Amino acid sequence: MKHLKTLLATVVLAALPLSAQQLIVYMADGREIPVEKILARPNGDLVATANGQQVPLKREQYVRALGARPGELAQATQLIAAGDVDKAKAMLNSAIRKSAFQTWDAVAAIQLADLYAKEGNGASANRTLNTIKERYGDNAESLFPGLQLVEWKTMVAQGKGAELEPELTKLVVEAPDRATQANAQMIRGDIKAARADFKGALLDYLRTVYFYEQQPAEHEQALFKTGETFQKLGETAHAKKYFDQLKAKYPQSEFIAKIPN
Amino acid sequence: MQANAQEPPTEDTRVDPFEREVEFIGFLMDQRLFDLANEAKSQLRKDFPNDQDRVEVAEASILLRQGKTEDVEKILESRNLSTDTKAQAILLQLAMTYDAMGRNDDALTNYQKFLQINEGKDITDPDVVRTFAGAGMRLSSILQDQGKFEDAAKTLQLVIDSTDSEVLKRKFQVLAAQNALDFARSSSDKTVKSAQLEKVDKITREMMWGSNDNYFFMAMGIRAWRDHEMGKTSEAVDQLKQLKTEAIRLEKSMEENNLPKSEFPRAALRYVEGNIQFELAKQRLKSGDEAAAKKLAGGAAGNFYNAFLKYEGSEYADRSALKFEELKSWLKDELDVDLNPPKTSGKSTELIFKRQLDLAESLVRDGKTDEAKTQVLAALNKYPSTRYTVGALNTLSRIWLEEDQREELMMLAGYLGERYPDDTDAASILMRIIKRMVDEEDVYGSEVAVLALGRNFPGQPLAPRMMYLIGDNAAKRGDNARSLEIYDELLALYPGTPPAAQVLTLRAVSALREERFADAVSAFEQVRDQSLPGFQQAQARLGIADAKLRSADAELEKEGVAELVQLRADLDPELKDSIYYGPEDKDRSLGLLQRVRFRISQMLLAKAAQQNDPALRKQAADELNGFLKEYPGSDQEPDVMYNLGRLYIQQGQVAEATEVFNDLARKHPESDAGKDALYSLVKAALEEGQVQVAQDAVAKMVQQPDSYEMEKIFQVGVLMLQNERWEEAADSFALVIKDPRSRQNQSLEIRALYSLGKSALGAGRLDEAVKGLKDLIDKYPRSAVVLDAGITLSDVYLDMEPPKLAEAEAALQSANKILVNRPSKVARSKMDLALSRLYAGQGNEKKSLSSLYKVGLQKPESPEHGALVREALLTGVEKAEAMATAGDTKAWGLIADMSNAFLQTFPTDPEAPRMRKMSSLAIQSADDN
Repeated sequence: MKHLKTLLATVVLAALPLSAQQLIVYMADGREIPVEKILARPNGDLVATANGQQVPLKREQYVRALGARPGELAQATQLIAAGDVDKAKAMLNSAIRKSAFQTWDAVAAIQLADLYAKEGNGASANRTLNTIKERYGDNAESLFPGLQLVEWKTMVAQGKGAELEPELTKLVVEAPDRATQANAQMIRGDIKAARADFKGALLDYLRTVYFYEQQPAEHEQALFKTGETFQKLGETAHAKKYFDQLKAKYPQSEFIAKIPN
Repeated sequence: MQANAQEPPTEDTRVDPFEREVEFIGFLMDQRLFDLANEAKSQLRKDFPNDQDRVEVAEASILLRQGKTEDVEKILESRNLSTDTKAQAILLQLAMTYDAMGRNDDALTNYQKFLQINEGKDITDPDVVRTFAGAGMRLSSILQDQGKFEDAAKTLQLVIDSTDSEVLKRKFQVLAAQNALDFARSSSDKTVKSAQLEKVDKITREMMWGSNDNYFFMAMGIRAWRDHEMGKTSEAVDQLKQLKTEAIRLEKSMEENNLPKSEFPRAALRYVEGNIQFELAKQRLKSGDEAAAKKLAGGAAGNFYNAFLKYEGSEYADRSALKFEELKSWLKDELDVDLNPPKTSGKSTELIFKRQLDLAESLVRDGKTDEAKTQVLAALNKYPSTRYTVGALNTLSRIWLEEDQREELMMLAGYLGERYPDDTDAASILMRIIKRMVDEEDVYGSEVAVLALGRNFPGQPLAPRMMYLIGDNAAKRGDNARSLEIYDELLALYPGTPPAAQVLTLRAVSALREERFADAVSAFEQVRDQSLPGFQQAQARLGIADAKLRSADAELEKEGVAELVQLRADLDPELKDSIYYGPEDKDRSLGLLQRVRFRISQMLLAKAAQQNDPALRKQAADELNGFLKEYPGSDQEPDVMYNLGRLYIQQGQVAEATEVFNDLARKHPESDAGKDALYSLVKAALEEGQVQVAQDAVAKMVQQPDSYEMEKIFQVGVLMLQNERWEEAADSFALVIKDPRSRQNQSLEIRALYSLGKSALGAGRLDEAVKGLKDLIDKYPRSAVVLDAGITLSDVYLDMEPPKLAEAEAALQSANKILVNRPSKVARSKMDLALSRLYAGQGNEKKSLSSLYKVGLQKPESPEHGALVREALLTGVEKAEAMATAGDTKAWGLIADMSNAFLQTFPTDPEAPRMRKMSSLAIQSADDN
């Protein structure tokens, strides 16, 4: 859950203005217009209510809108924590529909695609992300930074790891922020693990452990994946060492429950 | 003046991906993940195809991390150091490695080699620049210790001139100034003194124009000291006082920025002040002012002690520690004052201990092991239990390794295991001790240290492998009981590890060899249950099925068949997502499948023979032919062809069988199965119980001896002998002896004579046996075979009614003559056993037992020798028991010796339980008597 929350945070923090309750339309000319209500048409045109007046806006006039946060998002989070993934998916799909073009659809879509990718259902994850990319166009990744990580996971789930690997290798060195570097490193490890190159995967996870101790979310996950991969190789002593490090450094980690006996 | 704190280092300065990767490989080595480090090293070569020279430097660095200095020396031999800057980088790393190992002479040689090459040159290669500063600091320190101040100055200047970093430059300017001051103080030559003090002035004056950083304060401290040396003591003291407030402020800022204490300036200032105070104290005492002397000494002590305690890693702190000791001694000697540091507790105690430890480590590095040992032992005595105690034990272990104190090291190994279980640092110390014991082939020491590791450090990945190796070593030196104990412990402590699987597999194989099928199945089942799904588990499943098939228990055989067939299905390479065919396992899984199929074919063949079932025969034929088609030229091909021949014999198709055997002999003449077609036919027929077929083949051979080579006829004879077909065997050997071709082959004739004797013996024709053996001994008295022939003849005479004792003795005398020239343990043991039988025949039970005892207490050197030892012990115990029961109480002692020897050498033998009882009984009876 904590990891998911971190994922969401990277999206939401980028999206939120100072006040979470404020509805805003971000215009293409750079203006930010506070509004009382937003209705979105299927083609992306909006009818916004500002100062009691209805203001129609064509899709090309605005970059994105920030609408009211749908209740389904919080419900989905609780359902996931309770293990009821199917119901959570339904909630998220509902949020995507209700909040079209209003930022929360992207938040929900990222969460939903992540769930699909974890299950290995690359096709569904891809479909979900495509909805957002169609709505937000070329801006999607810059508007929602968390999108890129889920896109990578989706590609891995679709078996397209080989295509993605060179890009990830570049990002490990050149990405401007360390969280992206760390994530690129780990996804590259996942790709290698998927083709049973466990040594290669281990090296990538260990690089993340060593170089990204200051990125707790990624560091935590890397410790778990390192232990898990050693376990797969039958190297129980090494596995224990990294699981112990995980428990010591991140005692509240959601990964601790996943450590095999 | 405003003091400037240095900026803390940025979080990630590893921009160069190559450097980043080299650093990561260093991390893997630190974690002892050597396999992964090698993998990363291979990747480095692939990922940086245009930087192969840098890769070589990195690879050398990895070799050096593993202590493989000789390998790196070899690399450098083929390089031109004068022009090859990468080789220079490697040379520098080699020097630093020797330095870290405490091999100061080698370190100095290589450092100086580097300096000579680079004298007057700019150092620009990034791989050299990376390590040069650290190397320069160490080299200058070594040179100073040797009093080579001018060389040290050159080294420091080279670093100053070659660095682009202002911070590094200033750091080294401080070192250069200190070096010049030390030079001045150590020299009695006024010219030198003056020149060096001038140099101090020049360097420190230059530094005053830079920023008011920590190095500025250190330089000013040195400058004050210079002033004192020039007689301007009061100016020096004033200057130090002026610097104090700002220096304190600077240190506060440095502390807030988490900078290391080694860079804090007040260590230098305190040291300088302490030195001045100490010298003034001496002067005061000389002039009779004891009170002033004490006061000044007190001030100096305070400065030295605080510098030592608070500035970990600073050279001035270490100097202060030594100076403090000097001051203590002076106070005691001159003023009868005991200088005791204030009583401390908790954190301060630990800090003092830690600092003493730092000093000891520094002394070890400089080769002053005696002083270091004194320091460490004193510290441990005073502070036996702090969180730095393991560090102290680490230093102590290095000293004892240097001094080769094995007893102490073994004691330390035990202590570490007891007091610091599962501690990573303690484990590292143990590993070092283990390496020494192994390198010195100290068997006992290795066992003590490895068992300490294995029992107490479950987190150490190498522990199970090491325990396996010491168990293996025990077995190799014949101490099977000890080997068993170690393996039992390994299984208890590390179930499920590859070494544990190896032990269980060894036990299973041993059980199979001794036909303890239930034990074999149990051992393989443990391997299966403890293995992850995959190749190892599948191998265990094959072992289980094989053991069950060989058990001759109908129920188990049925299970074995089903399990084997299931395993074959599971190993099908066409199965989707198979766990057996990942990149690492593919080849060996295919090899395993081949073995499974071969085993199935053997199983079908055996069942077809048992049940006389045509359907099973067809299945067996399909399987065998399928195997030959799918695996042409495999290792099992000779055996598969042989089994096909057997199958034909089962079906009564002798002609087809003969054709297969001929084909086999043509394709695989070197194999056991294929050495001769006739031999194969006879063997197969015997194995199938088709005695008539075998007899017909032999009869044909006897009728047409010219169609066969003599050696082949002999081998058929041997086959018949092994199968107790005495008549056919005797016929074959007689044929060989009679044939004129054998006259040209003495060795063959000898063997045929001996074998004829044995055949006649087997057939109960004793007179004929005697004649054959006597002929051999008379005709070829010096042949090695006479040993066995003489022993056999002796046994024949002893079996006669009544026994012919004189003749038996004569036969053994003939055999003994051979023994003189061939005194192997096996031959000697055979003779002693035969003598034992002779003495028994002569009614001399004591002498008989003595011969058995002599053989029984030997350590077997081969399986054949082991069989003789075993026989001697079993017979000996039986004989001694009879003697003891008849009233010879001394025999109990012999029973105890022999039964214990049996348990030591054959701990898993089926007779071991009986021997255990005999041993207990013997000990009890010996006590009672």
